[in-house]
Amino acid sequence: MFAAAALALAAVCSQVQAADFKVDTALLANGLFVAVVEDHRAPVVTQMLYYRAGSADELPHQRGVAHFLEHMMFQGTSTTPGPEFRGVIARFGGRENATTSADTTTYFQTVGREALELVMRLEADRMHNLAIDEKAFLSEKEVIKEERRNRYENEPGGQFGEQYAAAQYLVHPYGNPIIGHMHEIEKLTWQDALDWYKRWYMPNNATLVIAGDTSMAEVLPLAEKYYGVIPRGPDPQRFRPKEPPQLAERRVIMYDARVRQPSLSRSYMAPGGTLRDGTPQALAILASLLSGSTGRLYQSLVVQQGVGASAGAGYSGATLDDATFGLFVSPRRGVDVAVVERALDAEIDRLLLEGVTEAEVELARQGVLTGLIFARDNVMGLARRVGNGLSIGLTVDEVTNLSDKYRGITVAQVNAAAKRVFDKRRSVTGMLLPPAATGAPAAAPAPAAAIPAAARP
Amino acid sequence: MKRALLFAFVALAWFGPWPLGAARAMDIQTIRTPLGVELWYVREPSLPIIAVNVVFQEAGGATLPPDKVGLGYLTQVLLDEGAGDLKSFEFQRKLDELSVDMNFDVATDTFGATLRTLTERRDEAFALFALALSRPRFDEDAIERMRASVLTELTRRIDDPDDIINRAFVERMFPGHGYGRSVRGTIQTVERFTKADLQEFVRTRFTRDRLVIGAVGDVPLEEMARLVDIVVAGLPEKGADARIPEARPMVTNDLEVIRWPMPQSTVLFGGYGIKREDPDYYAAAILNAVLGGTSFISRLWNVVREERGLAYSVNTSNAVLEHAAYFVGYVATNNDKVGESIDLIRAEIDRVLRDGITQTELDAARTYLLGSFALSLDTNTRIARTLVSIQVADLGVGYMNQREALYGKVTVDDIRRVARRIFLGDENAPLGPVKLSTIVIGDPVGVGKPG
Repeated sequence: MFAAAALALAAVCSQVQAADFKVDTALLANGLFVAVVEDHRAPVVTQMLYYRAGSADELPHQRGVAHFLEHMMFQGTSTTPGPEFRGVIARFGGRENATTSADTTTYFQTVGREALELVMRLEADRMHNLAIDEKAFLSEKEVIKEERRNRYENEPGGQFGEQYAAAQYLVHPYGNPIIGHMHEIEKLTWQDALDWYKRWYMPNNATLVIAGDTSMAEVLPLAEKYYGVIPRGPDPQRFRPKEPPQLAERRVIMYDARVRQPSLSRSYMAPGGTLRDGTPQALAILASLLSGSTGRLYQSLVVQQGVGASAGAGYSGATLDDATFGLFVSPRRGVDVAVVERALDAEIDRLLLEGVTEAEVELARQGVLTGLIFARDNVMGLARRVGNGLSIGLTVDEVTNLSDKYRGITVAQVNAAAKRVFDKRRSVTGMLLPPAATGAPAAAPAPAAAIPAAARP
Repeated sequence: MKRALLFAFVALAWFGPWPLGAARAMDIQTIRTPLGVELWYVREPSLPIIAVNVVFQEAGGATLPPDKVGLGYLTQVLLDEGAGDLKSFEFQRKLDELSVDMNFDVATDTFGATLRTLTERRDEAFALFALALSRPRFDEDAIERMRASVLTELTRRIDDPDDIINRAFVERMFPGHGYGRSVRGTIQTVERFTKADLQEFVRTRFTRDRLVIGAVGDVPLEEMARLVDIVVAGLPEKGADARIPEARPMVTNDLEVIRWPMPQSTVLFGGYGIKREDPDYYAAAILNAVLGGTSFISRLWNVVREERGLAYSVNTSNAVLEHAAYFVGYVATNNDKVGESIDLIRAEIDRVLRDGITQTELDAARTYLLGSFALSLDTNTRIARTLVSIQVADLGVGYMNQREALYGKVTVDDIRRVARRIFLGDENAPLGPVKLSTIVIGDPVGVGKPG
């Protein structure tokens, strides 16, 4: 069966074209990098503007400001007041939103092609004309606190995730929550937001990606007209603290009365996506062959041993600094989480001892390569790949030609990557558990709609 | 470690209005396949991909009696666990080898399946798809493994506040009706399902007379019809009648608090809805867009979020089912702001009842609804699903071109009438305060009995 799989693959790979998709690029005199991904299937365009600034660039006394400013960017400019700014895209039937990550802040809109000029004008406008009013700032602070409660204080999984991430990093800011802690959000001032805006929001610190039913011939004059007039600013410098070597494994165990079903997670420090020696691609293949219902973890822990209800792995590759490689298992009802952890460790030990097979790597590689073809069905996904990749320092060729990179990955590279990452001394093990128990409740669970007596009105 | 991205706003998936309408220059071809089923197809020559969406009507979770609730969901997770002569691992290994995406999804009214494959592997892909839908194995070891997985999930959901309030909400709106039960079932029902139950579900519900198909691909229409027939060939002509009775939501105008130890409360409020085939559907869509259905511009967004900073997200929806419709709104706010938020929302609805909306608001909402639909057709899989949605709603192949006229006819007087239907239950009801069933989960201050 394995041999047959490998043969089927060889035929497919040869048919994949050289570059996965085409990107046209230009650089404006003020330093704004422009990329266009064409897709003429529908009369629709997406604009994505990436700033090379995220929560990991914040100073310790202003944590949460990157995300806070992202919210303030919807509050209007000196030329277009807030309600008008927010309404205009929706009134054209368009969609807009923004997102903050540890490395970038991104604004995006999807509109009918006739509204391309409008969204470019509005986005360029708020790059340099943002009008932050203190009253709106204070009102938005309440909104952000509600957002935080929604994701963290209200969610044991969210609170646990925050503790777990913090345990992975001693000094690097990837360990901080992007939104900031509640007391940090509380302390932020209007001036902090303004300082952040002035420091990072400028054409020479941004990448503009336009995708859809358009071309560079149409985009470039518009980019010159609206973005080209914004003066270049002093190139902002990122200061990222370097994580010291991790010498001891860390464990984060949280008990919460709101949790009924235990969960187990494991995270290892791993190289980020900017390493050029193939390790990120080898790690993506490793994650793929560990995951899914035919993957190693599910087959061993769920099917053969019956200790897990689900299991998987993931690699958070596309980051500027060191990333993480994660494993998770949801224990089957009634199985102690310690039993599941031993089974997980044994599986990783076996992988390190025996290595992965040629057939496994081929199958995973084919999955990745086919995924790259399916990805062409989603032009916004391609735009995101371009914007994020360029923002962390990859070249245009590196973001558009992943297939070749994956074709070159060998079994030896995957095994070397596994040895490099799966070092328990460089890991964090996390358990989110029901109160005062190390495993699932032995008693029969309550009826589905019941509420624990203590919580009744 | 998962580093989540933070969005400026996030809507809950199931509150999203069901968008349908014009705009993408989309050439829909229709054909009756040699085996006699209707296929809607869009040819997209620029990608070597085929995407197909198959839906069985009257086959969703709500078609099951109370002691079988959740059977559709257990079926959903077992369909790719072995079919024909291929046992679970062999079947899934084949899917991996071919890089075929196959997904099953039981909804309230329907059971859906999607397939996505590279065109060059279409024959093997459709053969596997057909096997899964017509000859699933339901081997005992696979049943027990997936049952354990579903039970683990249900156990987790028992204490999930979003899940608790959603269950309480539908139970309250549709007591004793299939629409009032969760499609995932309960621990008690899932523990008891047998192989015979699963086989019975498939035999009686995956039938040709229930089938609706939409596809997008780069092959000719006739070739697509041939592929679809690979699936149709394995299906029986007819199954058992499982028609869901028509239902009208029960709106009681009271407020229930589920005390839960967390700092932020979630509030759901429900009213009457307007069904898809109702002539007032388009007016209801516009009213909803103006009131709470659109982020950034709706009245509730402006009052609750922008002016007062009370919530991260507030939204409403005219939720449409096959045999019922209901209005639902959502807000999540700090425990000490729950009363204020509910009062504000009720006041905004009272204002719509009393004064209606302006022509400017109506025009803006109409432009939004017409334009946003085009943007939702952005992948082949979504287009295939839309082709199915139009058929399920029985709108006809010309619907895409009629959409502008259908929304264009709506007047501000229509909006007043439909506001009374949604918020008072009857267009002739005497004007009075809005009637809404409200449920809160959390530890709200000054609302309901003290915790």
